[in-house]
This record gives sequence, structure tokens and C-alpha cells, in this order.
Amino acid sequence: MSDKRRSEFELLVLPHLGAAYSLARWFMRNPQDADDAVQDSMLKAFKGFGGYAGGDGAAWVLAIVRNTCLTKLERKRAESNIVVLHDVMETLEASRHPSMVQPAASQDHAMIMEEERKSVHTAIAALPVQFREVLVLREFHDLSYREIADVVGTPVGTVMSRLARARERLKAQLMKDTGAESGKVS
Amino acid sequence: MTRMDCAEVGDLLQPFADGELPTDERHAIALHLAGCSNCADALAELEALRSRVKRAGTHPLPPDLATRVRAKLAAQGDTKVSSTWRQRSMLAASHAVAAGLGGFLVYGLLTQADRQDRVRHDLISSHVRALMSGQPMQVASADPHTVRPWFSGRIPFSPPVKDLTAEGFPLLGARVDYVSPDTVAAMVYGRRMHRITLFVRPIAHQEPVSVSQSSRDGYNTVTWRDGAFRYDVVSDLNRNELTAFAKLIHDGSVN
Repeated sequence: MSDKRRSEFELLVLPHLGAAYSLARWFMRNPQDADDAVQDSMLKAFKGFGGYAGGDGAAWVLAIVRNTCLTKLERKRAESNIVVLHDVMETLEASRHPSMVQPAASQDHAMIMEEERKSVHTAIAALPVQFREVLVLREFHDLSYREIADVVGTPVGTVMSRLARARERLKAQLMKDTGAESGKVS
Repeated sequence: MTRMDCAEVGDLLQPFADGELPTDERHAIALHLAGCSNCADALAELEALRSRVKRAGTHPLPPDLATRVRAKLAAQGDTKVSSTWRQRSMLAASHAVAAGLGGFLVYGLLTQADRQDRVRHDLISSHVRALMSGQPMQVASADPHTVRPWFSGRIPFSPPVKDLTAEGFPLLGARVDYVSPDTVAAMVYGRRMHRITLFVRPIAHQEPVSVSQSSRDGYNTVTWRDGAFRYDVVSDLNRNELTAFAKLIHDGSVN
């Protein structure tokens, strides 16, 4: 690749690396797999840069990241069901671990915030992938319904209904968490 | 304005909170919310959930990942496979441009690309400099019959001048500019908020001109030759619309 093409790639694609990682992290649900997925995605983007027809660079990159992650997840699932179980266990552990430290009045604000952050993250990670992706693209990537539809490859109406269901489930999950928490305390 | 009931508002509450609704529906919902505490509560709950999610935030980029990605890409660029791919894609791109401009234009060897790059850089600089000066035109006119004679006293050639207002690219004016090593005619066109500079000059010193398209620092350029003239258009307009503009100019200059 020429230096010119390379600098175009630097200019148009690499600024979205943070967004790419964020999305990959929500798909893969652990840092190592997200890291791998981003590297693979960037390589694909680099190789496919000739076919990039201009337009929104972020949406183009995110669509590549999404496809890469889905392929990886599919392969993982095919390889072994144990892996999936392991993921679930990991998620459960992550959610259980912080509550082993009882929040006390003396604990500082930052710690409580961290607790809150973890429980929201765990609840999002527990969403089925088709709900999780639209929620993440909307809330963390600030994509419009139209842009989400382009990345995910579904009609706008589907984006809307999935987003509504994602939020319903998330709300239910967070309420359940709060319930479990207070149950434990009493 | 049509009134909405709770069921209708309930269905539209999420797109309402996401800012996805047109003004009239937004107003109808606001009107309903003002008089319905159930729906107002539902919206408040939704907003609370959204801000809880936003406060939790997403996962930040690991500090060394950008470096590792760059290293991986750098290693990639040196392989034979990717250079073959590059030639093929550039060929495809130039075919596409050639086809877009009418297909019959002569286009030069791809190895010209690097030499052309320098010229393109100068043209983009001229375009940007002129816009930044606030005086991109020495003559402000949408009338080719004003612009054409204006050129004739200032440069030793007479470039074709076309107004494309009907096609959505109004002619705004023109200037004479110096783009090393030539004096060029520069015409400024508008497209929404964007400005397009069309540079025209006689082809000098047996210079081979290839039909090409490129983008650099957010600016797109399209270059082609036609008879005795070389044409370059520069703009921050997207590539498709700029190519459409180039095609209009090209087709116009034939007549």
C-alpha cells in the first residue's frame, strides 16, 4: 500500500479505533477476545479499504467489527459449548464478586460508583446479542436508528423494536439485581 | 394537531427520547405528556435508565492497542499479496472513474500517481487558501458571459465556463491562480455548504494526465483531460457528488 493510501487509512479509519474496541468488547465480553477482534477487523478494513466508497467512516468500521465479532462468536460456539458456559460463569462471577465487598457508609463515593458501573455492565453483557448491539450502538456510540440499521443490516423498524426490548430487559435485569442485593443485606 | 392516546404515546416514547421523531409528532407527544402523569412517569423512567447506562460508560481503548494495530498494518503493507491487491484496486478505481466520465477518455499509467500527487497537493492548497482568505473569487458572477470575457484579459487561454445552477451546482465566480508551474483558471461552484474549485489549464510539456480520483486530508479531487485542457476539481464534497459534478463539466465542455 502506498504511503498516500496508508495516510488516508490513518485519517479516515484509525480515528474510530476507540469505537471499534468498545463495540468489540460488548460483543466478545472479555478484553482479550475484543483485542483480537479489533486487530482482525482493522486488518480486514485495511485490506478492504479500496472498496470503501466514502461516506461515514465510523459506520463502515463498525460494520466490519460487528461481522468479525459475530464470526468469532459463531466459531467459538461451534468449537465447544463449554466455552459458552465458561463465559456465562465468568459473567456471573464478575457480577457476584463486587457484592462480596459490602458497601458501607464509610466507603467512598468512587467505590459505590464503581459498583454501579459494574452492575450496569453486567446487565448489558447478559442481554442477547441482537438486543445488546442496538443498545450499545445507540447509547455508547450515539448512532441514529438509520445508522444502526446500516451497521446491523436490518430495517429501521427492527432497530426500533429491538432497542425497545433491549431496554425493557435491561430495566428488568437491573431491578432484579437491586432486589437480590437488598435481599442479601436483610 | 391530532391528539394521541396513551397506547400511541407508549409506542413512540423511545424514539421520542432518542430524538428520532419529526416535529409534529414530538409536539403531539409533549402535549399528551403535559396532561398524563402515567406517560410522563414512563418517560422519566426511560430517561433514568438511559442516563444510568450512559453514566456507566463503555470500555475504554487499551492504551497500547493503537500501537499494536499500527505495527500489524505496517507489517502487512510490505507483503507482495497486498501490493498486487493495491494495483488491482487502483486499476478498478481508475476504470470506475473513466467509466463515470464517459469511458472514452485517455488515461495514463498508474505509475503517474505519485507525480500527480504533488500537483494535487498544490491544488488542494490553492482551494483551501482561497476559501480561508474569504475572497475565493476575483469576479463574483453566476453568468458565464461575464466570467468568460473576464478571463480573456488575464490568461493566455480561454477555458470553457459553464453554469450548473440547474443541476444544483451554481457557479459563484472565478479567479486566476498560480499553481506551480502554471497560471490556471479557477472557477468556484457551490453545493449546499460546500465549495468546489474547478481548475483548468492548457496541458503543457507533454504532461501525461490520467483520469484519477483521490482524497487527501478530507478533500476529494477528480482529474481528467479533454482536448487541450487539463481539469482538476477539488472539494470537501463527498466523492460521488464530486464525480457527478466532474461528469457535468466534462459533458458540457464537449458541446
